[in-house]
Amino acid sequence: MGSIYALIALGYTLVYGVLRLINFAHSEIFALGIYASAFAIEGWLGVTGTRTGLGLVGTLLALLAISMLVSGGAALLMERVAYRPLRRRNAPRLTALITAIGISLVVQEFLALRYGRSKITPQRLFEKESLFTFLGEEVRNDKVLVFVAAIVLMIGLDQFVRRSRLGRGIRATAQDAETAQLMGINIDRVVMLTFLLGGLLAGAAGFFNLIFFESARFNIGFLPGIKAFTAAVLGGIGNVRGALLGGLLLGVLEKYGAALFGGQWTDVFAFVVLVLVLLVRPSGLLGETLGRARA
Amino acid sequence: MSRIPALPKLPALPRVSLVDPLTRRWERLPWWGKALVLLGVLAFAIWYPSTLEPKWQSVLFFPVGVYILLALGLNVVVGLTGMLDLGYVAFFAVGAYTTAKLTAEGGGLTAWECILLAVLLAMVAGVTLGGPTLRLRGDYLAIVTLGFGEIVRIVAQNTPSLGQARGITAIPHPSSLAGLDFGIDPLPYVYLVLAAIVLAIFLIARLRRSRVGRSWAAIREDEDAAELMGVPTFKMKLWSFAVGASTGGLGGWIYASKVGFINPDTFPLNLSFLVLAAVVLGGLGSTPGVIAGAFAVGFIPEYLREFSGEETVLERLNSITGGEATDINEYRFFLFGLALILMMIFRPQGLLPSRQRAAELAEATGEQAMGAVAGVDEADVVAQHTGDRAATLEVPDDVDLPDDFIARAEEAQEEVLRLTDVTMQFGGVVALNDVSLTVRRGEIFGIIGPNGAGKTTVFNCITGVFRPTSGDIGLDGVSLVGKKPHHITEAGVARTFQNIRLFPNMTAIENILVGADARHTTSVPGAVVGSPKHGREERLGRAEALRLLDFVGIGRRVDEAARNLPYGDQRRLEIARAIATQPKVLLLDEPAAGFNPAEKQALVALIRQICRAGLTVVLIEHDMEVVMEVCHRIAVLDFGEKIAEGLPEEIQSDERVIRAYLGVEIDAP
Repeated sequence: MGSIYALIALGYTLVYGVLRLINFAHSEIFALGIYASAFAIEGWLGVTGTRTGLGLVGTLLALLAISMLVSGGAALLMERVAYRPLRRRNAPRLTALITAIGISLVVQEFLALRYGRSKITPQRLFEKESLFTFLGEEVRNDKVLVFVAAIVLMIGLDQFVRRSRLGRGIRATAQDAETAQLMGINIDRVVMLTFLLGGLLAGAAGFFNLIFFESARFNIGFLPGIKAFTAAVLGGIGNVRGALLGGLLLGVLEKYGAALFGGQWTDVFAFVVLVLVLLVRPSGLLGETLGRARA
Repeated sequence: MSRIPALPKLPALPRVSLVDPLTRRWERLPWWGKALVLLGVLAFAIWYPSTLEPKWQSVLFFPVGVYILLALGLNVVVGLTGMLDLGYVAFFAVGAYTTAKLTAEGGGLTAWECILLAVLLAMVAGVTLGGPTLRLRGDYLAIVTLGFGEIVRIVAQNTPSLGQARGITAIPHPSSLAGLDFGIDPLPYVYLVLAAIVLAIFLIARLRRSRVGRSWAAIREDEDAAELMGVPTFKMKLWSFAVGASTGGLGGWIYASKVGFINPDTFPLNLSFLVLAAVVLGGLGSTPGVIAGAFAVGFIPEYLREFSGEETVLERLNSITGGEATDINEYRFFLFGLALILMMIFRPQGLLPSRQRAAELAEATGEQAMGAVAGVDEADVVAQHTGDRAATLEVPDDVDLPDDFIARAEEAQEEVLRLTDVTMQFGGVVALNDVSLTVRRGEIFGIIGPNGAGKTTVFNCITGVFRPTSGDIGLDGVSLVGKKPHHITEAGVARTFQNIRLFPNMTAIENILVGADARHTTSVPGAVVGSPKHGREERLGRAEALRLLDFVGIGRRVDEAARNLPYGDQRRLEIARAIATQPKVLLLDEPAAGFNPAEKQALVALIRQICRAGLTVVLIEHDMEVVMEVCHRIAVLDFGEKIAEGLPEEIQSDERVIRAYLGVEIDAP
């Protein structure tokens, strides 16, 4: 669970780092990723039973790609249609927040209207079995898969932001947008790229979430979204590695919290963590900048 | 978002201009005209529901009436104070659950007895949430409140004594009152909610016009500046939350006692969003706008449901989304979400915007941001208004009063402000290093030094923006270190800012009143009931503010929004606002920046007058002419250390000062 939070948290962090904007609608991008893979399983790929071997690997990769693309595309669209006009006008922050809420409502309701308000449960892809026990916990194969894949994606992103030319553009924009623009960086492209990256990762998170829980509802994005935001803040919003650390940490904390106080309080627990972090160390564990060389 | 530079502007955005003329016409009405219109509206609101079928009366109660009430409460928090609260429905829930718990299932109280408790408990919930979270700003606050809304719901869901998912049923109706029988018939409840709405409008309007409302506006405009002008920002934000929450609690009481049963699903998160949508659609901060918005949000879906063409509307929508909805209501959130996005793009000020909000957004679309004035077209502004200003502020005849002036300075031996070994470190950077200064009562004390010498840091330490790493700052022997900025302002220190920080969308006189409010003591309840003290303070404050505007020479600008004043007048207004807090010591941070020689002369005259009025002035300034002319004594800072202090002549000939300024080695060949 922690690694899913971390993947979503990265989207918040990237956008915040560049635009100083908390994209509340990011949780819906995640939800779209879930729905995309859910429908791809039966609709487009026509999977009817569990698969094994190479077939399974191929299916998983295809689904991952589909949900990443759908979410990435949705994130781009969102930036283009709803946020850019505001950015052009230098609109106050409250405006952007309200827009985000609007987007959230529209996407949620769209899913609800189109696919119904009740749970959807797509075909299971592979049998879940326990691989080994670790610290008294059974470790299932799907958990290992999700964890490893998420880590690979995150390392990929981290390297991309640190090493590549586009990543340098993102970091420069995060530090000083005006100067970056004067140095020949196309801000619009950087912003789009940021949304795209966030969207891709959220799509991946959505896919993993589906494998893990094997069901979805129209408002499924909300809670993980909030928790991912908590994770991002926990690690230091705007900081790529912070999001990673925060996500994993929150997953673990939540697990112990649930064991301690009972499962129905899990969600309350995340909020309490959020409030505490914001009060005690608002800049998070690793500090707030995407721009720093470390990020 | 502000970090992104202004990109090429979009072509002029389409504006819905139907309602604006109406707003303007309303503003031109004399007070009795407004009163007549309001009475007419009220009469209509009483008469009209009685002509409707019970079904529509029910609709008028819920969602319409309840939404309006909630939107009014939320508007205090979001519209007036500028804090985004996404968990507002929590207070509605607290009010409803309080009512349910205390009246149903052997709670023992009647509905009427419960009303105050419901409101109070909602208020307590508001304060409990606000206490730890109001230190957060903007986005963070929004997400924490969102979390709070969910926590309340989850607690209700999981607490056996609150009925868990089943909720609480059989909540008794209120007993009949004033000829209204509260039973199944919805009409009495319509009147009940109407009464609550009128009460809420009335009380909130009173608050808005008092120092409380001004504090809220100041916080929304510039929270830091508000704190430095003596606004107890935290307390005022808490009050804003409490007022909003109690309105929500009242709504909860009404709802629970009419409907008779509640459960956690009565208070979904989306309800918070819906109420927010109502506030935003109507126009943040505008009472009629908010009412209209809430009406639209509550009424339109109900109306469409009955609409004969529903089938086609529904089919259209279904074909667009590919959905299979059977009830237009299912589209409610979808459509309002869409409306929110579109509103933000095309008419962010709402349908019936408030004056301030409209101005704010006009500014955002226009190119002339307040801070930019200085940089962008300073020359223009200055050229344009110099003549103007010469007319209003003739340099007083007695500018040269050297004898009197110098005499005063010499007798000024009593110290008023003392800095003892003040050190200020930021991480490894030492901004101030063991700086000691003594300012004497009644003098004009200058602080000069190259850029980055730590001059403004001195001000920030004195006013409590920063807490010095070590050392002490005393005003009349009382230490200021560790006090909150607004307490320091109360103690008698006021300042202006290097880059002007007025409350841009408040009028000139409102700006000054915010400063003057630092001396006022009317409590929030006092402002609501209109205590005699409140009336007296308002009258005095107003008279004082007008006098101050005249004193600084911008008496004609009383009702202009601060952001529309020319640059020089903004500087003057800022000085007036600081004086309004009745300080012992007035700190001026580069008041002459951007002035031409004539204006500088006028400023010198003004500073002398301030001094003559008995205030001690500490002046940071780069312009040597101004400094040498006006200051009695001067301290020079360089790299955070005081390198000289003395009379202007002494400073002018001090070797270390010359070295610091010119960067010359004195011994160099």
